[in-house]
Amino acid sequence: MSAQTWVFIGYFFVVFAIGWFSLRATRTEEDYWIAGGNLGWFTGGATMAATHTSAGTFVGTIGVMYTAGWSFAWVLLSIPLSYWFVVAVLAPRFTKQKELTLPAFIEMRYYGKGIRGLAGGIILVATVVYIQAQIVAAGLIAHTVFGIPTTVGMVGFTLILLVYTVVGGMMAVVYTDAFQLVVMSLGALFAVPLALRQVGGLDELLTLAASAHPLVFTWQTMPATLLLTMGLSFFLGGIATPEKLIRLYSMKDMPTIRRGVLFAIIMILSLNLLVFILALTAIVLFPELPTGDLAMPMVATAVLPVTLGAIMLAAITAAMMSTVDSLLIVAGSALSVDIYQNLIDPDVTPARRMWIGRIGILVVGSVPVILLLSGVGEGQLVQFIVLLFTALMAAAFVMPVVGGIVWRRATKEGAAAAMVGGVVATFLWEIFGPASVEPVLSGFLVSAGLFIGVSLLTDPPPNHALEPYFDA
Amino acid sequence: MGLRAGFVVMGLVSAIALVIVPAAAQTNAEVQASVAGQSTVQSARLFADLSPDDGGAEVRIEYVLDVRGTPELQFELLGFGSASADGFWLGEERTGTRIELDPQTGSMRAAAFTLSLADTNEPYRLVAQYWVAEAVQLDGEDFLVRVPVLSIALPPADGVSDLFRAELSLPPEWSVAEGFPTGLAANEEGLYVVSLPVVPSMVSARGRTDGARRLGLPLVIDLLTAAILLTFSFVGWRHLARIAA
Repeated sequence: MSAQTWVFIGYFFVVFAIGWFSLRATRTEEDYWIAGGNLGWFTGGATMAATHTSAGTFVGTIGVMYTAGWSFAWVLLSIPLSYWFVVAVLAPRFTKQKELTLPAFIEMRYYGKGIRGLAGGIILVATVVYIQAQIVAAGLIAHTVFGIPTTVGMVGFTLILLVYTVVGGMMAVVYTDAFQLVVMSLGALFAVPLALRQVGGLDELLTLAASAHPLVFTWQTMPATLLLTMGLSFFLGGIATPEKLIRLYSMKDMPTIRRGVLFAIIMILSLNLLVFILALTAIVLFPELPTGDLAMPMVATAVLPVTLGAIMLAAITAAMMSTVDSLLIVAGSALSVDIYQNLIDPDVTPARRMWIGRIGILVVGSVPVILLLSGVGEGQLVQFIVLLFTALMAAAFVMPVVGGIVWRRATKEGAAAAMVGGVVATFLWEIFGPASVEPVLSGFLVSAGLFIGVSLLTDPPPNHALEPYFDA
Repeated sequence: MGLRAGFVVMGLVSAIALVIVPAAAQTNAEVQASVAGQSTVQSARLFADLSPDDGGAEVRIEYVLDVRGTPELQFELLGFGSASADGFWLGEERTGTRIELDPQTGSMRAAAFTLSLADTNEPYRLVAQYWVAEAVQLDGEDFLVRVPVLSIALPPADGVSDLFRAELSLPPEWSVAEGFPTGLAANEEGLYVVSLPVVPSMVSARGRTDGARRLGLPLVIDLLTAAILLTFSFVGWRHLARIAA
């Protein structure tokens, strides 16, 4: 076996070990879904950063920058803005009453079980879209490293992921996230000086990149409307994607959340900066890649030394796993708690509910790979699948979540209309709208219009729905 | 909104998703079909003979192409530092065609050449030769070799792990500590060989002209990485074991 194979085996051994120890540490349902709700700032911030820094960053962002140049970097400025909004506006009220899932918050604030089931259903559908992006990237990496067919890589990645998420739950997820963040940081940190050494330093890299790709430092590769709406998508998605919101419940208290989010911002921006430099390196050293998504796998295998290269690829796989496992947890809880218990069997025992969640994780995790094997979603750039998911989440949940904690008049009917209208508008724009504008714009505007309009047209919410989030 | 309405809305969302997904699949199938019709590079074999006397390199690169209805080929060559070439022979030097590379942006040089062949399924073989001035830089006993690779603006064929293969002929007394692409190593005939699934823009090597063996930076970084990860794994294991207990 090659050194790369040994590194991957060693890496996954560590991940399984974490899953095993996490299983032993999981005693209650709170442990399984929100890691006990008592995480410190390092683990909490690391799991936020690792979830954010998915294949979208290590495969997708570098792929878009390889193709379209540095103008895409502008989009990432929206990340600190959205995290600031979470800490300053959202978290103080959102975490006043801790729940196990985002739909549970929806039920509490919007006083209805049906709307909770609706939120769970939207999460399930959108999760399938997002997991596809990660699985495509994993297949590409497996093909690059082991020379195995992309489809075999996709299936293998999904199996590994499902095993440790089903077994360890959120407890396993947060600790593997912390480990994976260290791996990703090390990989990117060491990769940059080695890459610069190959091309002769930073000045030489900038000159060569401009020579190989004359538009790399211009604004001409993407329409301004696309860049602006991509920024909006990342901003809104950063506020209200369920897998990020649930991490607010996982941390101990508000001071911990503030420190954790600051740590996450620093890590995310630092990793993105390193990724930008590696994208330029790929432009110079591999000018004829068939897809930008191969840029990072090629940097890892051809620029870095063998062991670090394999660790870097393990780090990319780690990034994908961090994102997918978080989403699987959200999807599992949506199925078991928000749909099964809420709508089918209200008297289900916690133990049975946990097992239904595990089955839900298995099902939701398997559907994307089955769709991909059927040819559905194959061949798309990873970053654009990520953007579709972000747009769906933003259109469905930003108004009900943010509006729900800042506007007393928000009603159940308004929230339901916003969720459905936002998702439908996003899908319709994705199919029929111009490609120069991201679908999040139409989704969010429709969602906001329906949220405000329908809320004003319906009866005000009862006091018991407002008490947990508003002062008397 | 009651329970029933919730189910109705969920059904609507699912139905929309089910309609969207096949539509997306159709688009992808069309994209892949168009990609399948593209010309591709099937293989590229590079031979570089480094001359210690004048620091230049004689380079020969053999391409095998799958050409589909696009007879004009775009050649590109990046210059790395002082290692650059100004023109190349297509075919053998004595009988081939001399083609000048026009300066583009920065150190990029490019040329276009129209192939006189009909659309065919047969692989098209193409040989290019060029001279790289100052391919070798010496700093005492340390050397740096950089050989820019003449590339053709075509995507590589999919799934060929050794599509590009380079062979560098260095003076026998030299030793190589690191190279690009990773994996550059001497074979039984004393040639330094490496392969990749895509064509890179250059091949490089660092080492010593006196043959002395030294730890290269990549090995140092490999060891450092392993040490940090082992330490972190140990600390994490202790932490989790304490929680589990």
